[in-house]
Amino acid sequence: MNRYRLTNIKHLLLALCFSAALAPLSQAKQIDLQVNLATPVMEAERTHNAFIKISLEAFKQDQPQKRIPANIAIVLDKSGSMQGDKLYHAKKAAIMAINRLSLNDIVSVVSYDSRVNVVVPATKAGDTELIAHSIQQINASGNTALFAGVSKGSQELRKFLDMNKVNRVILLSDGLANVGPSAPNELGKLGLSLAKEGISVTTIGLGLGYNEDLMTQLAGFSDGNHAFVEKAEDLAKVFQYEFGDVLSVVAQSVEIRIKCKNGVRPLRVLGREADISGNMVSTRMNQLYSEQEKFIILEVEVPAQEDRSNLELVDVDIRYNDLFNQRNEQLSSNVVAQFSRSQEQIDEAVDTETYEAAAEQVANEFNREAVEKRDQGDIQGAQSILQKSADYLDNLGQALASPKLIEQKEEALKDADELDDEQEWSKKRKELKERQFKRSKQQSY
Amino acid sequence: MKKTALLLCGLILIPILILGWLSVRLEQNQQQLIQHQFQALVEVKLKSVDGLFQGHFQRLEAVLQSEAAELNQNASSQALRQLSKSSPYIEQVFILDSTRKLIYPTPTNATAQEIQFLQQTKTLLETPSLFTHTQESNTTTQKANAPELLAQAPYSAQLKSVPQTQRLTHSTEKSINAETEIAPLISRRSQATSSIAADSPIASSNISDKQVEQVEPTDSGWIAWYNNTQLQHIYWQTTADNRVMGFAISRARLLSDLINLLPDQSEITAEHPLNNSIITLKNSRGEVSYEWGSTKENADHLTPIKTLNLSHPLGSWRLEYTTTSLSKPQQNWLEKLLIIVITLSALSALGWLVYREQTRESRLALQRVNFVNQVSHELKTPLTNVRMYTEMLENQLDDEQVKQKRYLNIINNESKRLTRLIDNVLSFSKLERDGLDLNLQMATVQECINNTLEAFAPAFAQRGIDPKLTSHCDTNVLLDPHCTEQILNNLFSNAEKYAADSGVLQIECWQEGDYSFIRIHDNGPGIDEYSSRSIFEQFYRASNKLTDGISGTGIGLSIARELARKHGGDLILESTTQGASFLLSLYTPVSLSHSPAKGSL
Repeated sequence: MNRYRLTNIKHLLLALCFSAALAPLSQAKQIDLQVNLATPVMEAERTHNAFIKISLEAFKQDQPQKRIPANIAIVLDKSGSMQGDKLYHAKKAAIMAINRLSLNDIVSVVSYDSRVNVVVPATKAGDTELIAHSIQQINASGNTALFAGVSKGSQELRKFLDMNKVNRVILLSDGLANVGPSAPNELGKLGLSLAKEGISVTTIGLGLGYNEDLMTQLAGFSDGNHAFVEKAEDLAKVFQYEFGDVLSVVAQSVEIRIKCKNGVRPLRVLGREADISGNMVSTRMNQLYSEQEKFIILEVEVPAQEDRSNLELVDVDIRYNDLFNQRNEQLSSNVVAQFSRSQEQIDEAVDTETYEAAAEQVANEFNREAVEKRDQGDIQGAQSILQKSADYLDNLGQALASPKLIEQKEEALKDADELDDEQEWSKKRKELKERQFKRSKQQSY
Repeated sequence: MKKTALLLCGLILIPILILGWLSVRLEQNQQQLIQHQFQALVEVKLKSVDGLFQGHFQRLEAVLQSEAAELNQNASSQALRQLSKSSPYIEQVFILDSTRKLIYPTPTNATAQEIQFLQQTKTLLETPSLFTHTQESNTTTQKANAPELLAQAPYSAQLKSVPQTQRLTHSTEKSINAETEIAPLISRRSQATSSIAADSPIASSNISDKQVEQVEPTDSGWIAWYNNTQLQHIYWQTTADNRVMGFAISRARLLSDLINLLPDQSEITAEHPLNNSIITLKNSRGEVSYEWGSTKENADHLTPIKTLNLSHPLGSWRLEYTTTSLSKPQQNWLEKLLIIVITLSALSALGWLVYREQTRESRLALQRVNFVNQVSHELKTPLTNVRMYTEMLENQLDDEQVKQKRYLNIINNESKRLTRLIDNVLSFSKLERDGLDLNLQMATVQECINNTLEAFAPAFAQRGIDPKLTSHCDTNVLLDPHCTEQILNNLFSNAEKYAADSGVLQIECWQEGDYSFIRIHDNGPGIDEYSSRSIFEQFYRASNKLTDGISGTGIGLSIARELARKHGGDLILESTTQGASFLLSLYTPVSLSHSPAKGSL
């Protein structure tokens, strides 16, 4: 124990020296903000609907050994349906993941059936042996008090809640929440409230029994990740991905404010929840991961302009918490559109990458609508929406010569094909929801 | 024997039954008592949970007050929007001006979420009376989905006074502030929220403390309203310029926070008071929101033993306490059953002993009676011989041998008396065994009386009794002369014994139809009232100075009456002013054909 502590102190001292020495170097901004227009040159004397992509990307860390401490609560479903293989793999995956944590990290484990049990109260992730032992004691039985489980999990996080830590609840469930609130929207609101405190909830749906709407809303509103794991053996992999994500967070509490100027009107934000009020658009992301690009696509209506004129469309203002330097940073940028009568000029200027990203989100929206229609039992309606999506992707893919969009067109057609398979629908729906979620949030795995 | 056994069974069973019933009653009473005590305990427990919730609302109130204080008088809609975005507790902020007109959020410049909020709370926001505490009458504007708003107004007043009661913790204020300022990147707003998140009542009361000093909200309260049958909460307070600032609380977050106040399973060990019972928090729709505790078996089918409705603003929510431990008082029952079984066996043993003793005694008595019978029979033969030879001797005596004749006479009389005694004993035992048969023959009653009187003549003469017979029954009737004579023997013997020197003994005899009557009336001292009731009982001997020194068996009158009854009549003691008068009646049909049934006699 004593030796342990000694090495601990050594580590700390080392880290302190390093950070002191490197402080001037790391003054540079960690985040790169890019605002791109899919069609930078537009036809003059006509109103347009234009896509603006606001993307944020964290730079690669120069000091790989240094990372942001994590505060993680693993919330495990131990209801009767988890019995056997599922719980075995879940426990194994959780223990494996916890072993990746270091002394600076804080971990807690909460299990729930009809009632909630705090298996490991928030503690430093040092004594993994003891934590693993506690996790092994979990036995499956009872119902699914998902809401209470997440509540207690977040309560454990709050004990060491720190804006300079990555605060995350990792929820694993294989069943429908049947004790306490069970409406997706209610869990979404809980997620929203937790997000305001800087807590994200990652939801991992296991098997075919869980409610994907509930899980995606909870993850979506709190800006966590979501994964659909059909086979329990894959849990370990997903946990590893998730911990990889958690341990690579570089910035948190990202607030994005967009001001539309010069008569430009915001129409919608694709993929993410955003507030549109007048000419102001605001949204937030809970965190940015190292070397991962996160973006939002804003669709705006641009008023008609004269030939050869320039128009500033939007001002983008970003605030975030730089975890390495522990301070609030601010970035801003804007985007200017040109107007021309020359079709050639217009075509030449198209930003393929941005357009692709926008089209992907549009297709994603189509997909969402299709699932909604399918839920209402209107299979043909859903298929026609997907057909529309495929047509859209095809047209654009041809025009932009983008293999990525053509591929997505095929995907949409395949989805349309598989919609009327009643037996496979439950699984298909989970896959679609997962894909929609991953696309709109640019999830890394 | 059987009767005794039954009696004993009754004697054993009745106390056992009484004991059993009493123990059942006792057990029931005890159970009720325990239940009452238990219920009281449970109520205290549930009330403490309610108290926890109230505490949460107070802390939340403090946080909201500090939020309100941070917003300056004419906060921009931007700042207000920012507030609802950054506070985890607040879903929406609204402001009403002094005339209770909505000034924020304005429908013209609202986000989708705000528009939805305005639609849901339209009636609510258009009811200014909700935002004061003096509203009582204005109920007409209420929509059906908010029926409890007005009913709960008094509770709002209760809650209102709370921040002032928490002013006690001044000393710790500094240290708490230092603690909350560790994280420099958290805005001041989130300081407040993080301290309530840490669930420390001291920290949050400090905040309320400061706020109370800075701005004294003139009025505030909670509104609980229903949106789609789900309970929602709004906290409002009036500002100095009589505007109303309202905060719609995030329902999910509120529930989550309330759940976090409640214990989880790891806090419930085997020794925990909640062992083997569960508490359930149910929302306004009766759905389980949270439950904790443990039961050994499945508690789904059990009905809660205690339900507590939570106080405002959680008016329609309730706590339910369910347990399995109360329904099984087995140990107590075992104890009581043991007592009953022990008593039963003890009583049974006792009963068996008594029964055995009793049967032994009756066996002995039977043996004794048999013995007496045999002895009596054995005595009869020598006695007959004595009498026969006395008579023979008397006949051979000369007339001059007066002395010898007198002696023989005495021997004869005494042996006759002995015969009567033996006859009495034998008929007694016969009657006991119910084996006496009448030997009916045609004879006159007068003859019987004369025979008996003849036998008694010397004794009467000696004792100074003068029998006078008035006979009206010299017709031949059907009767058992031996039996009749035995009855008369007993009556005369009594007269001889107890009415000595009384002079005339009147004997009347007459016949009425099939019955013959004989009245024997002496002039002796008579029988007193007390004794007259029992003289016909077996072995009863009237005990007074009269009977002192007179020997007797105590069966005479009883046998006489029994024989009379056997003969279809009766023997009764008549009341007279002087002496004793016995009336003997006998069923004596005139001819055989008149006899209704010989067997019935």
